[in-house]
Amino acid sequence: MAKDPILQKSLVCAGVLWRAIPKLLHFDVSHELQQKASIEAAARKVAAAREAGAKIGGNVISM
Amino acid sequence: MCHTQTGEKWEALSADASVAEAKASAAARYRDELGKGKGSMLAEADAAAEAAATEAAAAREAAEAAAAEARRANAEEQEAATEAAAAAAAGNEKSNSSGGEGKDGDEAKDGANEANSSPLAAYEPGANSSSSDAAIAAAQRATQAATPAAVNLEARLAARAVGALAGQLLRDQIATAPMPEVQVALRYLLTPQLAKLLRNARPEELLLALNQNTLTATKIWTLEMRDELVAKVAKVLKERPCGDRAVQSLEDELAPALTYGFTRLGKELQVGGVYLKFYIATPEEASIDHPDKFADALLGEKSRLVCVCFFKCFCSVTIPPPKLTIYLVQKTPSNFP
Repeated sequence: MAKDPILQKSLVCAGVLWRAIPKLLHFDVSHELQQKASIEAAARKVAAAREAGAKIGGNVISM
Repeated sequence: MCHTQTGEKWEALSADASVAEAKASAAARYRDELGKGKGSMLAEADAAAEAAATEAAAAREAAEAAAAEARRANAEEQEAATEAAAAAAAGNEKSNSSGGEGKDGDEAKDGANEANSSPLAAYEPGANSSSSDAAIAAAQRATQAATPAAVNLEARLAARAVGALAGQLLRDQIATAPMPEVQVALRYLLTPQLAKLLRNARPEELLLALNQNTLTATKIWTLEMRDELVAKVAKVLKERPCGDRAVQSLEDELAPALTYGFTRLGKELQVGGVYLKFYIATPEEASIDHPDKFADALLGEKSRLVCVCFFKCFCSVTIPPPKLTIYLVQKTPSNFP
C-alpha cells in the first residue's frame, strides 16, 4: 500500500476504514498500564543488578 | 515393752503401708486418667492431622488445576499469536506476489490485513448478505473471546492501518500517500486533535486517549463519546450495502462521517482548536500546537463577537491567562468594540 494509492483508495471504498475504527475503541487500558508497569519494574531490577556489578546475559543475572 | 514397741511399730508400718497403698492406688488412678486424657488428646490430634492432610490434598489439587488452566491459557495465547503471525506472513506474501512493493509499507499492510482480513472476505464478489452477517458475527465473537493482549495487538494494528489508509504516518519506512478525504472524515469521527495522533508510528497515545476520559484545552474525549462513536459505526456498517454493491465510491463511503458530530462537543465553545472553558480553567499554553494561530483565531472576524461575549461572561470570575491578555491588548485595534 505504501506506493500504491489505488490500492489504498480501494481499501477505503471496500469499507476497511469503518471496520478498523471499532478496533481502536476496544483497547484494554488497564492491561496496557499493567504491562508497562511490569516492564518498568523489570528494567529497574536489571539496572539495580548492573549497579551491583552483576553480569547480565540473556535471561540470566549472575553476581 | 518390747512387744508393745514392736506392736506399735508394726501398726505404724502397716499404717504407713496402707497410706502408701492408698497413694499408689491414687497414683494409678491419676495415671489412668492421665493416660485416658492423653489418649483423647492424641485422638484429637490425629483427627486434626487427618483434616489438615485432607485440606492440604484439596489445596494441592486446586493448585494443580489452576496451574493446568494457566498453562492452557498460555498455550491458547501463543496459538493466537502464531495465527496472527501466520496471517501477517500470508498478507506479506500476497502483497509481494501481486505488486512487488517495497518492504517499507509491509507493516502498515500487515496491519490492514490483520485487522480486516475476515470482514473483507464477506465482501468478495459472490458473497451474499447472510455470509457477510455471519462473518461480522464471527469477528465479534472472536473479539469478545480474545485475551486482553490479543485485543490490544489488534487495536495497535488497526491504528497503523487507519493511519496508513489516511496517509498520515510520518515515518518514511511506513508512510503512505496522503488521502485528504479520509483525513477529513477521521477529523469528524475522532475529533481533530485525536486524529492528528494517527501520524505517530507508536499508537499507544491515541489508543489510551480514545479509551479513557480526557478533558483538556486541546482534547476532549469521554467514554460517552466513545460509546456514541461505536453506535454510529455499527449503524453505518449495518446500513452499508453488501454483496456486489459492497464497493462504493469514496464520496458515498465517507459521507456518513462528514455529517457526524458529537453531542458533547456541540456544547463546547472552541476557537482555533482550543476549548476556551478548559483553557481558562487550566491555561496550559504548552499543549497548544500553534498559540499564534489560536490568538489570531480569537481576534478573527468570525470569532470576535464570541470572544468578547466569552470574556465579558467569564473574566469577572476568572483571571484570563496573562500571555493571552498581553497578546489581546497588543493585537486589539483601538476601535475594537
